[in-house]
Amino acid sequence: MTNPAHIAETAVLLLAAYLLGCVLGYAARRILHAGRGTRQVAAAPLPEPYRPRSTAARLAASVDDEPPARPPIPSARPVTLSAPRGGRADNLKQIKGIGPKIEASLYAMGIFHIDQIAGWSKADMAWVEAQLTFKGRIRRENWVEQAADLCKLKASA
Amino acid sequence: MNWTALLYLLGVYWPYLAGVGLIGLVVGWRSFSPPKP
Repeated sequence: MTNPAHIAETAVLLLAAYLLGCVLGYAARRILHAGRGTRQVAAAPLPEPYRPRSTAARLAASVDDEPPARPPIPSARPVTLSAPRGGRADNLKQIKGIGPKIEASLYAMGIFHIDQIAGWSKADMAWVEAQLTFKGRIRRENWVEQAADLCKLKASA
Repeated sequence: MNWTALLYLLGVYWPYLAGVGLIGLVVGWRSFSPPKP
């Protein structure tokens, strides 16, 4: 069996077996994948209707839609002023949770002083939250309690 | 080609040929990459 011809033939046979295995493996996987793909397509749910993503496209598409329902603004509103007492508004940013933007909004609503915030009832808080579109934030950050504490500090000083 | 010798080799070395074929099968299987949708 040390015949060089036999060795060459054996090598050819091994090569042929390897190549046949390669072809069979590739074909088997391809056939299996194609079958699975067909089943997936059949079982796949129908795609959702196209919804434009960009802001401009969404605006354009929403022209026909109904406007989004806004939560009703409570009728009870806190005591507001047309101008700050003494011509000088308090720094509402002393209350944790109020930043420059919210402070400006509160000034625009006629809330200039910390004692105004300290006197808010639940209905007042609901009204301000509805105006600022911050649901539950005043209660969560205890604005009224903070304002009351600041008022006490101011009175004792 | 000497078919008698070839059949003899197949009869003697078939386990090796099967092993090499199996290796080829794995290589062929792994070389397929599914097309992206």
